[in-house]
Amino acid sequence: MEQKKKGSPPSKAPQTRAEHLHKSQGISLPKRIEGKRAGAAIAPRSGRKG
Amino acid sequence: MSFVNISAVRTADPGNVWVPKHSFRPSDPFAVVLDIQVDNAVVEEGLVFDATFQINNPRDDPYSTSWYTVLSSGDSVGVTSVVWTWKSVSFQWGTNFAFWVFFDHYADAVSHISGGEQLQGIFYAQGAINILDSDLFATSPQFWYKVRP
Repeated sequence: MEQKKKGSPPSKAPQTRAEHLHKSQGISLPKRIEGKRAGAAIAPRSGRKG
Repeated sequence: MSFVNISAVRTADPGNVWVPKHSFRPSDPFAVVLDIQVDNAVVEEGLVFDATFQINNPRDDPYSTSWYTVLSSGDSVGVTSVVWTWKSVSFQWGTNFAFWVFFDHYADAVSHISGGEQLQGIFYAQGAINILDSDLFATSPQFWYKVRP
């Protein structure tokens, strides 16, 4: 059974596999294109047919 | 009884999100669009939702068609879907609206993907809505599209 060291703060569990790889082994995944090339938008359908 | 529904999902040109587009070149603009309906009670309660958009390559055979991504160590991991999430979105657009993610180029959406089918093949898009602080959620059907050189 794993024993926790006294006095060490609880570490936050990685939320993603990418975070886990980076935290446990220092391995990074390639970066995805974000920012100005990607976005999201919303528009109401009111007034549209179909 | 409150409800949320995704009546349709489609890929589209971001400049014309109401019209489905089934075939893309790598340089084409690209969007994944969800048509969403909720009842007015959800809007009036001020609830918010997380939206998930994804594109999928179901051909997960490492000897032929699979998508994968290369780690900084040089190792690789298989990737069957590319997922984008938008969190804590309000229902400011009412009870019947479309929500989409978009890219200037299809190639940008799969920029981290390797494999012979990165930029060609037949894939599908789908999405989900998760209304926070409630039991409500909705999932979309699959919408198939093609990418060709």
